[in-house]
Amino acid sequence: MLQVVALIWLEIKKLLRTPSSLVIMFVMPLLFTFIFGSFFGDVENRKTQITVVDQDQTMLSKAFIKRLSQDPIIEIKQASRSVGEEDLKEKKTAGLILIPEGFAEKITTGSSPVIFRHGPELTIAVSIRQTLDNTISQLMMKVKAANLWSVYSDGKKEELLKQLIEPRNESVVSVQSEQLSANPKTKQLSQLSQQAVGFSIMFLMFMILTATGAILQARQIGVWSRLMLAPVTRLQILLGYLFAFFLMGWLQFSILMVLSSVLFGIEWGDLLGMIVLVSAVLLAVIGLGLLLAGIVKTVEQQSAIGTLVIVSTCMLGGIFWPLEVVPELMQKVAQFVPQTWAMKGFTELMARGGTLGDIWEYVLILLGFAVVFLGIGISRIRFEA
Amino acid sequence: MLQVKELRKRFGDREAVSDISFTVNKGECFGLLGPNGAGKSTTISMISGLLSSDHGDVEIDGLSVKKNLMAVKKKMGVVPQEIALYPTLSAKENLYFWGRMYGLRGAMLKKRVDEVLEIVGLTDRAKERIDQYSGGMKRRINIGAALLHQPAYLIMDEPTVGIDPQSRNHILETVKELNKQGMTVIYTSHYMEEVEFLCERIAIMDHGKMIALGRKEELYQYLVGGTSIRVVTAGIHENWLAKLKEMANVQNIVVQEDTVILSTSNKQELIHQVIATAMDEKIEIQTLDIQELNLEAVFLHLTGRSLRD
Ligand SMILES: Nc1ncnc2c1ncn2[C@@H]1O[C@H](COP(=O)(O)OP(=O)(O)O)[C@@H](O)[C@H]1O
Ligand SMILES: [Mg+2]
Repeated sequence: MLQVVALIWLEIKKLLRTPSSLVIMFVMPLLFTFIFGSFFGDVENRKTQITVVDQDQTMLSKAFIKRLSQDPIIEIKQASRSVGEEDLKEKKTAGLILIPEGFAEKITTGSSPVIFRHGPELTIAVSIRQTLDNTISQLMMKVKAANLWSVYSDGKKEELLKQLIEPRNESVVSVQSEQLSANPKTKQLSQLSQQAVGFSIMFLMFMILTATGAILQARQIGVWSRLMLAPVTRLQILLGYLFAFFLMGWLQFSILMVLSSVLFGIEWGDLLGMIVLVSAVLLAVIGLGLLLAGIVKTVEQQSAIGTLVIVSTCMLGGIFWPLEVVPELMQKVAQFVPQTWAMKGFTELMARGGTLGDIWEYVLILLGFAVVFLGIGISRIRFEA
Repeated sequence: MLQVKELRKRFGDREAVSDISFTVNKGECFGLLGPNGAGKSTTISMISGLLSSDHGDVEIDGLSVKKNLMAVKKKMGVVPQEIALYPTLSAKENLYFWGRMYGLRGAMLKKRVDEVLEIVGLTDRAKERIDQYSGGMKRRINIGAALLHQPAYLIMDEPTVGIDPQSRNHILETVKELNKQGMTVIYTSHYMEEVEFLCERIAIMDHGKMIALGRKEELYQYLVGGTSIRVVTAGIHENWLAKLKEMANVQNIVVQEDTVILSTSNKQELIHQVIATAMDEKIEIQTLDIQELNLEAVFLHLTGRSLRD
């Protein structure tokens, strides 16, 4: 036992003593998350600012603006026409919605009542247009209803309309959120979370690659034979190394989890599920590292081949982008890399509020990878000098 | 007592060790001498259980390496031929780690690390990283790591290769002192001076075979009162070599580039003949020395080759 602990402590000490491994473990994943997470923008966390110019100034136009402002993807700012146009030109605002005089009449006649201007870079223009159309047609229905109603009753048309268009619980938002909770299986990780998880896994793999290289390096620097000379069993040596790799992995991943939630507000979801999932991922990754160490002769070869394997399988396994966007064939191939199942598990826990019960299949598959990789990797460790 | 019984090891179609047997008594310093590639390291690896033998066994105080490996490992301190230390850790950290691997802990571990640092003379520099050390200092810690658990048997494989004379002397003195204090030592080297200085009983190996075994005096008898004469010239001529080979006084002749080593039992006469023929053939002699009663000469006599070729 003493020997196993000594070996664990030694390996961890060697790792933390090397500045370059600290960079790989912590600096790189956080930096990459920051760069790629903010570069691509984040639909969920950041609203696009849109300027609205209300030249109509009627009850109806105000109701229209109020409804727009409840949309989750845009943030409404009101301004005069000249200011609004100036802002658009200087790109201080992403788009300009112009409500001209006579908005109410146009709504009833069905002709396009608002003008929406934006630059070509506004990627969510389509969905904003959609929102505009939806809101307008809802208002149109209500105006028509009020008109019709006033014909058959002696109620004042204005009063009726006012009651109808007052946004109550039937707002756009509530309809949308009902839809989301009705079908949570399609919800994806936000851009930022995707990057945080993806880069954490990738750099975890790089760290484990370096760490498992220690077995090859021990041979190269001669300490392997001294280990074999010491009165320790092969099992003790194996356990020492495996526990060391496992603890290093957890050390890195847990610190990344804390830092990314503090720095970027990433929510990692159910703790128990996360502990089980990360442990399964780690075992598979350690297995892969040992497997690679088992098929090459030197640390340098392991590092070169390992880097290639890690980057390519990360691309395949949906580490950098959701698998839903790649061709079907690739999605099929992706089933043979562990990262695919890891990402499914993380998505379940982080985006859909899943718990251990929702991810056990992914965990089992990851453990399957671990058994195969570790089996081959360990069997290829040469104990003789 | 350490008994090596008919050890044999084959690598592919090359027999690296063929039927090596010897016995090392408690408290003695036993030398294993032989040129590079003789099979010394392979023999040591089989004795220490690092390599399994194809045939034969080793018994240490009655325990078989094949059957009681763990018990045997605790009795032995092995100094590998290559430095076997973690280069990014300090000497002290290395010693603590290896001490733990031999089951030491707590106050005992600390005491032994301090003692070993004292023995190898590196107490002041114990906190420096191994990769900052000179070759000689690395060698000393490499030895120290094998002493931590106070082994009854110290097995050293060429512990002085490639180091400065000062470190070498320190190591030789250390080994002599440890042996004096009762530690049984097996010392492997291709430097005959070292083996001659340290060891009373010696085995000489060549091409995987044991070619001589005995006390120093017994080995010298191979020379039958003989001597070897080493002549370094500015350039050898075929005619001169032919003349030397014809001389009745020459028992053996070895040529290495511009150096000629002659074995003889009549050194005075031979020296005169060598100088006379060299003058005839206009050979410029740069050095001429007489090497008497040493293992180099024994090896030369037995194999017709010099130890360091
Ligand atoms: N692992 C190995 N595989 C193949 N050949 C080896 C191996 N180890 C040693 N040898 C060969 O066995 C012979 C003896 O080597 P070694 O025991 O290292 O000699 P020494 O220590 O006396 O210099 C050499 O010819 C060497 O090339
Ligand atoms: Mg050797």
